[in-house]
Amino acid sequence: MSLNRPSDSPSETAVPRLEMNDGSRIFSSIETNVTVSKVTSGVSSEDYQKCRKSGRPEEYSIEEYYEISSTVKKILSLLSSSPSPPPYLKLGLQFPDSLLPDSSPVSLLLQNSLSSLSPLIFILGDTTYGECCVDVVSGKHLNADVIVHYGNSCLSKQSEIPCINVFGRVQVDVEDFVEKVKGEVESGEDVAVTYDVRFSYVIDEVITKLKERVGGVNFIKGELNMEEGMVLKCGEKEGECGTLSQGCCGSSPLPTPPQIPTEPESPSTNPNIIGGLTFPPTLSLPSTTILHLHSTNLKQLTNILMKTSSSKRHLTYTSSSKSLTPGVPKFASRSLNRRFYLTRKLLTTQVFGIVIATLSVSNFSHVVKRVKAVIESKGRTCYVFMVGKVNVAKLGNYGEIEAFVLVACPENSLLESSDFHVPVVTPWELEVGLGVREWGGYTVEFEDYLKEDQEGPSESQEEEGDEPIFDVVTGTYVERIKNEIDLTKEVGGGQVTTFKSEAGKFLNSREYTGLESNVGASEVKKAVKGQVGIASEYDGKDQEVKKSKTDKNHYNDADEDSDSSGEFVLGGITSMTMDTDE
Amino acid sequence: MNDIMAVHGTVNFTVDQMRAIMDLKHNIRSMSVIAHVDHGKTTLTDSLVQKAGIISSKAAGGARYTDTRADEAERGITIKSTGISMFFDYAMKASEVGTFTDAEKQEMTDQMAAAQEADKNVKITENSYLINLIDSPGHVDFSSEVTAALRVTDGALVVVDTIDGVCVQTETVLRQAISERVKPVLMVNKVDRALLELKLPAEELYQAFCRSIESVNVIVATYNDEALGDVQVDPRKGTVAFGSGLHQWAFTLKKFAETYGAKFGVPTEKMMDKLWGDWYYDPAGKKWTSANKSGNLERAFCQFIATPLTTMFEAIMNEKHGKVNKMLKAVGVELKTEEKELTGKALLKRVMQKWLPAGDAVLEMIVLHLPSPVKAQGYRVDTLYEGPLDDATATAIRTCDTSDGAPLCMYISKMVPTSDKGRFYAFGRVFSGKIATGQKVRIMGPNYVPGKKTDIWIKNIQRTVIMMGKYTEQVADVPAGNTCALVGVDQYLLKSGTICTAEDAHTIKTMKFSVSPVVRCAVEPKNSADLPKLVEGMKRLAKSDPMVLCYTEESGEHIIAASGELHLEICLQDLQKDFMGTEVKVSDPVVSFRETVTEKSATTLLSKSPNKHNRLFVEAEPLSNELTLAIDDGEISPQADQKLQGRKMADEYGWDVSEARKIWAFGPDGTGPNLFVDTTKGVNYLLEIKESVVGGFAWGCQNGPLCEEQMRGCRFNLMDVVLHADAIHRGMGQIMPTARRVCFASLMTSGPGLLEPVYLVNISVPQDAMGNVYGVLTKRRGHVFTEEQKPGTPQMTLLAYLPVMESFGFTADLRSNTGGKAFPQCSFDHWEPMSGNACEEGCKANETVLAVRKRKGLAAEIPPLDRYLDKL
Repeated sequence: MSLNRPSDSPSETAVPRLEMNDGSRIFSSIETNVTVSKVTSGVSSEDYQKCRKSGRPEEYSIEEYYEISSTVKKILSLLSSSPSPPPYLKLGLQFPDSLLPDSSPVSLLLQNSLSSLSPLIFILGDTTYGECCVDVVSGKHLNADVIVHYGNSCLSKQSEIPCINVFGRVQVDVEDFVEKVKGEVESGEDVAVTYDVRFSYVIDEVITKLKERVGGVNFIKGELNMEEGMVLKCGEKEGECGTLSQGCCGSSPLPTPPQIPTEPESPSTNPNIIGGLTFPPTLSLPSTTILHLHSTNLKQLTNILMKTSSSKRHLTYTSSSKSLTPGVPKFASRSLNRRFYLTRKLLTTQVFGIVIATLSVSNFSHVVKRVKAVIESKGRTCYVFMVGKVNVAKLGNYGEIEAFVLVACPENSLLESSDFHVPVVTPWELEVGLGVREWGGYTVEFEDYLKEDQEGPSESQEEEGDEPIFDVVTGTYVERIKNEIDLTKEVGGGQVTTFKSEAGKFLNSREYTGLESNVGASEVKKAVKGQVGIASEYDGKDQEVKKSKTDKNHYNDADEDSDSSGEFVLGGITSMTMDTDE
Repeated sequence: MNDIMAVHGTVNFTVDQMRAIMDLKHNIRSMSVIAHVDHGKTTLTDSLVQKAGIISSKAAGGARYTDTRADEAERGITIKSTGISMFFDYAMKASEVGTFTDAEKQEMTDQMAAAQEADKNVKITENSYLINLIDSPGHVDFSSEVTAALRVTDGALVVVDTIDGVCVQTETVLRQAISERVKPVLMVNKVDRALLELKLPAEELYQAFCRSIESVNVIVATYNDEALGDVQVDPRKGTVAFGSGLHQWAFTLKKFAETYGAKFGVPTEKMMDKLWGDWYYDPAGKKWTSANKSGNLERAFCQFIATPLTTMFEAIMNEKHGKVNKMLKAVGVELKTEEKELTGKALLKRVMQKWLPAGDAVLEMIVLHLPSPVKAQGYRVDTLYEGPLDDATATAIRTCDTSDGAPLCMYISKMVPTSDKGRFYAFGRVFSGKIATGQKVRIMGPNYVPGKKTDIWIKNIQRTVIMMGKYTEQVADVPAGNTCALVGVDQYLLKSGTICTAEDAHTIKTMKFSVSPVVRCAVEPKNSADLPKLVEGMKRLAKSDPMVLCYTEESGEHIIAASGELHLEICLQDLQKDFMGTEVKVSDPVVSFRETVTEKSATTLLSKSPNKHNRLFVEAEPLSNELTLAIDDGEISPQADQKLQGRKMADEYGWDVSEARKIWAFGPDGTGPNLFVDTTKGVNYLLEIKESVVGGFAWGCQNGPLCEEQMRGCRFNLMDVVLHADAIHRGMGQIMPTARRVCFASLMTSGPGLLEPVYLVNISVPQDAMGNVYGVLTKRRGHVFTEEQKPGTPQMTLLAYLPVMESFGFTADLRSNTGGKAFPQCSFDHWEPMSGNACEEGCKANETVLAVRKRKGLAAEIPPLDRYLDKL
């Protein structure tokens, strides 16, 4: 299901011919030949429901759930604002696995609505890293002009391909929510409202109602941080967002030639990002209550709880059970403990592996660079890996690595790592573990990670003595891993140091060093020529003659045709085969 | 002059004097006070402290000077051992002493002491002595403190309650003392109780004394160390004193022998001999006899010592003033006017204090019968020093060399918190040379290996101080034979270590504790941002106590492990109050379990690698209990020569020799009691995957499949292997997880079981309360396996097994059920299988597994077998 074309209607012109350079990249030089057929009949949803059950809740129609009309509008506006609109539109639709059954009708609907643009619509299914991230790699292979990303999103920034996020919708009983919150919050409180992005279609209504009904409480909404507020701007311009859809949002202008920025994008302010949502920089966690509207995205909830562990209190409303639970669930504090334990393990780690598990989150290359610099500045060794989707077997192949640093999008950063035989940590945890920064204000966002850098790294504030450090993992003192090379003055005036290589050390410690070479154990003998040819044609005489020869090449046996093809045979053999003929 | 003077005003010595006497290595006595809990160590110590003038005689007996912590005072038990250095000068004149009453008393005692010392057969060059005393805790939970105290002292004052006699902990500490080559002397304490409460007649008092002395001698004989010489205690030799710490009086036979000797004009030594044992004085025949033929003679001890005592007690308690006055005159005690007003116990205490001052008797024993450092180190060096016994450092230790060129050797036995938060004094004993402020020394941790560069630091000593209970005094240097504390060493040593100057010096042996940290609990900060604070707190806690373990489990739980419930309670209190400053959430006590197999696998188990190209076939079977223990003890170890060990395993544990030689690995940690054995024949590339397989096995042993506890007593046999021909497809990432899975699969199919730790409980209880003890034990799945009566008493000693899991609150429960009569002491003994198959519902093992999983936050159910087991 990579290229979807309407097949149930007769096409009026030739089917568009597509050329691929190597099976993956599409040339768009043949656009003149392409005419897209029209879908004549409406899509009957029953047909598709027969195929497979989609993750889409029944109560929403496809048009509504996938925000078809506003998506179309957004695409049109994007194209019109572009300085050089492409001759025809290549559209990538990225579906999470659960929504894939709907991909066909959605693409048909879009095809219909965008027929003026004669779009080529591709469906991106199996994503490289995670469903929450825009699949930039596939998008680039397709040379897509726009990607529409469906379903849950980690809201991490990417700057390669313009993207429209359609989160989908989850039902929530707004009245019930507001009532329950009213009973819990106190007047004068600051309440930061976080939510599963699938509630974004209703969140404005929720906030308005909260403000109306619960007096004296300062509710702060977490904003969708899509390209510096493109959402609202474009909405205002088109006058749609208020009425039509808040779910279809974020986009960026058509590509200025995609390039990896050389400098990290420095946000002018330092917004608070919690669970992908942006809060004003004035938000002070310790005096704020976090109110989360939860559906099923546990990863986001974990991120929020871990990041805001220092806040005043937590309220979590679960839409399915309509329950408002105060306090931090046990799993979050356990998770924090576990992550802290991992950072402590790094204290004694000498060799790190940096695993790149995202190519779409902007700034990832800066993160990698910085992680590398940090590791090296602490006198450790590191190697960079790119293994595609991370799993146990892949990381297990590198026995010499004592800990991996995972550079990934926020929702895929916290690997449940008990299956890995070594710690797998985030860049932020790495810096905590190596003592570059303090534990506290846990974060998985790259923005936070890089931002703190600009505030001036807190590096080497503690003075680096040579005293041992307390390793809380084992409860003993361990020696610091020393940064500097031990130079010893020699009598002659030169300096000497022992060559230090972590990889070498590891290889030395390996038990298996190749096939057994019993040097000195077996008697040394002169090499003798073995028999040649088919076994049935061996004879005793042959041996004697061969023995007289000094030729050591006994690889070219069993070459029956060698008499006629002297040039294929290495030197000396020619004479040998002649002997046989006699 | 110094802080002490400023605070107390009456101290009999100056720091300068003390420093001067430190050089007289023959006049130093380093000793610890050891005993069962509540037998009166701290109170008795007061008598010496009082004698040194640090506290007043009025306060002595109730001051508990060496209990420096608030909670020690509150609970009335010693928790930390406390060092105090005191100077006694028998020739010192009263004019040096402050107040008049003290001066008077001091004069008296000093004169007496001086007179006593005058005709000593012991050679004493000067009449001044330095006593480095360490008061140790008696509760079993704090045994590690005793070990640390014994390490740095040469003598031990063993205190035994007259009525209770020798108890469990007395035996434990005495055994430790002898194994450290520390000489004991005995103090039979609480005689006042015997006289006032039990009103024992003279002969019974003698019998009670005899029993205590005999019990001590039995223990001494059992653990006798020839190098130490004859260390049996005997009143006739003067190595036993009797008295009351509470009332601050005590005597040795010598005291009475001298009195009577002077009175009757007989030599003191001869008199001493007659005052103990079966000797009777026949006044009619005017001769001594050892046979009480007529039956109406009174034992000499009773006649000359016990009866006067009982008479004095009776007279004072019954307020027979006339008699009292007469007796006082007879024993030469003069009371001052205001003291004459006193009645009852107050008067008794005052009279006895003056008649038989405890400080004198104890001091006499210490000075005469405990060895000086020179003497002691001569025989202690063998058990102390790790290195060759003829190198420079060893020689210097042996002779207690304090000369200028002598190599320094000091052992740090514990860390004492300072008023400066987070910093510690490193307290220990100088064994050779001199340690001085500013000196450059080699600080060696317990893992230092000579010639290697790890665990060693070359640093300057910031300050050297001497410990005076609550106070410290700075001195320029401290010579060998003394205890002192160092500043500026604590950041290099966690708990203990060695400080040397010689390049080739080895370390002093690490201390062996008689208890192990089996009671554990998990702590968690209220706010997770405080985690680093918690780590810092745990570090300080780990430093402050010789025993406690602070570490983190795989699940991220921070564990505090202590030797008993009380110990744990104190540790947690210290952590929150002193070391961390904030409160923490404390879990219920946590018990560690072990996962095991109970039967041989019925079939061969198979797991495939993630790419399905490699297969490992493994069978599991249990290791014999004996072999598991042998691995624990290091008798069977991975370092041993394979061939020799193979033979040994074949002979002793019934293994196949060729299999025993093909043990691939021990686990966990490369030394644990689980084995992975290669029993394959002719498998290609097998050697190449060995490391990956061993890695997976080690990983699996560390966290088993049932509830992520360590495995114990499991043997895994590698039966067959199928490998992909391409090396790239049988890399570590393919093999290691597979090896782990196949170990899990075979554990789960070979009668998976759970082992729980079991305590050996020693309970001493009077016969009448025994039934209740049985009741409490049965309720807690415990059972008694021996019962023994203490001769001459209604006291029974019960030995029982009690699962650690059921032991929480056991002591309190036992106390309340027996009216406080039973005294239990628990120590870890062995691992015992819990009933049932851990994977089948409805048995104890399964219940426990699920409970542990819940605690650790794992999935509620045991993982299904098919997660680990693959089909062909």
